[in-house]
Amino acid sequence: MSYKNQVKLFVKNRMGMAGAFIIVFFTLMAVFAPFLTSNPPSQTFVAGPWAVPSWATIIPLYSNLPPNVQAVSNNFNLWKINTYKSANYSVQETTLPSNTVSMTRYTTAEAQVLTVSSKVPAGMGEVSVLNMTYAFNYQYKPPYKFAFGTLIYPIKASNISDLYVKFTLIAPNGKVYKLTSYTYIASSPVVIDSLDNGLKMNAWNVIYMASDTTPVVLSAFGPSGLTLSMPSMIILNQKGTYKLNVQVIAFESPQQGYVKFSLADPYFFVYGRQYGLLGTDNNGRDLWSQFVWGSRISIEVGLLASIFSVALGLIIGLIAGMFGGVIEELTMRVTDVFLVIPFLPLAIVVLFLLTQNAFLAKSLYFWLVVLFAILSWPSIARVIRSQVLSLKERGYIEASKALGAGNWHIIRKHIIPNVMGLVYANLALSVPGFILTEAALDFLFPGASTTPTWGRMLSKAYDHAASAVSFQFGWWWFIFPGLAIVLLSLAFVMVGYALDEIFNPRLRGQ
Amino acid sequence: MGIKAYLAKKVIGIIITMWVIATINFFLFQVMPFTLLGINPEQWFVPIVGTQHNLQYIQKIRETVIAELGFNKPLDIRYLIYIKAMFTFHFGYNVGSVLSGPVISTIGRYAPYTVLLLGGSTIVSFFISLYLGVFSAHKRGTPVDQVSFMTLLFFYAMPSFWIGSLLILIFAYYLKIAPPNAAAYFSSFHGLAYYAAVLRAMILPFTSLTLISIGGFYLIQRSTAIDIINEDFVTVLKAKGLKNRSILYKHVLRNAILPTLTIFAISMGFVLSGAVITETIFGWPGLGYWTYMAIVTEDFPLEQAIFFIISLMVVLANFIADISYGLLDPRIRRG
Repeated sequence: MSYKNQVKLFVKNRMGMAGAFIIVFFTLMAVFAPFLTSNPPSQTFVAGPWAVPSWATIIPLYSNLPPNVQAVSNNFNLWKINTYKSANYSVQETTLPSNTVSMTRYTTAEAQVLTVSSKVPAGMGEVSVLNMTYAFNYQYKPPYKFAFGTLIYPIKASNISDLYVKFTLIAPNGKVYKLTSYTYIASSPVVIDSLDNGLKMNAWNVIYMASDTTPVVLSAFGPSGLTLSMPSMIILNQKGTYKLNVQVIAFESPQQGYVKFSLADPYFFVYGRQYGLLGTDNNGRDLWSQFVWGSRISIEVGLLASIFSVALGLIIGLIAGMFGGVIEELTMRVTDVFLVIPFLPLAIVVLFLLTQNAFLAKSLYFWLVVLFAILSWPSIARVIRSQVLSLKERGYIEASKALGAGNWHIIRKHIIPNVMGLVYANLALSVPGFILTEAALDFLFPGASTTPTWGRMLSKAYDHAASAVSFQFGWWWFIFPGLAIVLLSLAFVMVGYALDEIFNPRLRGQ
Repeated sequence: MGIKAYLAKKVIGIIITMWVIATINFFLFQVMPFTLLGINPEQWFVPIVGTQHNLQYIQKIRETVIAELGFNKPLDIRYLIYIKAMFTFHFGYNVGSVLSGPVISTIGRYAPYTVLLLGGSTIVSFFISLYLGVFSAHKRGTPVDQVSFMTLLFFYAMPSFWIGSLLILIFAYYLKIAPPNAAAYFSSFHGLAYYAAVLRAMILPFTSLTLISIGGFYLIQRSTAIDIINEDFVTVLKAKGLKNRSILYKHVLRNAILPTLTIFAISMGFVLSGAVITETIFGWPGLGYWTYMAIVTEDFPLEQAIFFIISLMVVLANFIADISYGLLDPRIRRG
């Protein structure tokens, strides 16, 4: 049968085409991973933890979940600004130094800078040199995390003992949350540092704080009945107009003092509970990105291991079938051994060995491919050998021999073309086993590497879902990598069966 | 070739196979702990007892064991001693952080769990798929067949850790009607209640394994049954006026059983190898679970022994299968 006819038959085979379509889909995904994702798979908090996929918000349970929200503006004209009596301030447009700008907050480094200069009277205790307020409307469910902060640039400070920034949030019901003094906001106690041991003079100081994302018992603070929660869920549990108040406070000294500083980029960021195509994990990592990059390992390991093992099996099977004798006996013995070696336990042991060696661990997946190939070629060699043996008995090969054809000629002209069907089918049919084993190893030993893979995603999803199931059932983290493994494996099985049908006319029409 | 010669050839094959596996096993674990992990090889064969007052006892055991297994000897001697130890099933002592005592008794203690779980689920899925396969073949092409075909194909391709952890999340953590960790659950029971607890804890891993293994049997049974249904004798039976049910589940099923039975026999050989992943996820303390735990707790003598035992069981199962075929079908003996 000609090559063209075979392709035609394959195109006509619905199952084969469906499988091929799925394989092409995932392969394209793997190849174009950098263009399909906007975040590196390991970047934390591209949104809040446990964010559901954006499309899932059509489910009533997930309606009205907050997306990423930049709640306050960095335009000072929109803030209500008060200063201490004799103080004066000015606002200018400027470009902030790039190392101080967080991309999750604003997309450009263009911002306004507010410069304040003020006298600090002696013996007054705390003096609020700058007191500014921004009102914003919040109409979503409470988030799992929010962050706030500002940039501050102390220009001059004389005769003051301290300078710090204080953040306060006033809820619609009038409740006042002192964000910078409640220790439950951030996991480490909030320190907006004093001049002495914190703020650097004549430099942009980044003040950044985030609410804690580990659910804690907060019954003392929260509404009654709410025992397991996060600070953000209590502070932002209302809908309406919130006021963020930012104060810069100078601390008195015995003499009259003076302070001059600049402020830029004040922000209050609500981390979304809905994000992207596949949501986020417990640390706000983009699961779509992990999913897309994870397809690479599955496809690479599956295909490479299959190609290596089939190539090895083909060569050794051909030799054993054609020449017999010692080589054949040896192949059969080796095959006997390899067929009974427990595959997964051996893979576990070898994986463990690999992770013990920093050099080998770097190319972990390459060595896994090598292991898979070494363990799987014998069964393919056996199949090829028996096919060769049966081909050798055919009349046309005997005729060819009678005409004086050499072994090499027979192999090239008669044997290889006739075992290629078997080779193609085995290529496709051996892939799912490799994909599943690789995923299983990643699932059992997620710490073996940091490469994002479907197996590793599932392992982490399971670990965290199990510990957090009472408050969040992360189905979106759990369903899709598993489905992808099943689909890709099935796709290879389907293509394998289709090829088998095409190359084994006996099966056709059944 | 006579029966005796056939048997002899097979037995020699087994011995060679097991020798190669034992050798691989020996060198694999020689390379690993000595050079990479820096574990003292003597430690392998010393039971961890841990308290001060039996240090003397440990010392005595250590000396005996080292002398007995020759751990003070060069590699080649050690290899010979190791091979001898494999014949006598003297696998050394557990050195992991969890288990202590001779490895062989550890295996004896945990193998029954594996046999119960895997043996049970293999048998159940075999019988279910016998009937389901014939039923599907009978309904071939109808939506009923297509749905069951696609569903079982899906189960067949499902990663065992996925279905396993999904079941745990739903039934153990979310609905809280099953224990998330089997061993932790039933180890607190005694007497008759213990067996009840074991069975209860077995439900989830059993379901998970059955769902996965049913697919393989079903696919084969269905395709054989499709061939059988088209055979002449079925038409004759129909003409005789036999009931459809009787034709399907008596005659077609029996005639289609052989290929499925073959796969079943091979699966039973793998029973002792355990389902590493399923047992690990469900905390089912069988040999598969300890295959994983031995690595995690760095209990290499145990890992080495499990590896050997599993291979031996598979070889023996294959041997029994071969022998019975040889006895049943004289044609095989000649090949």
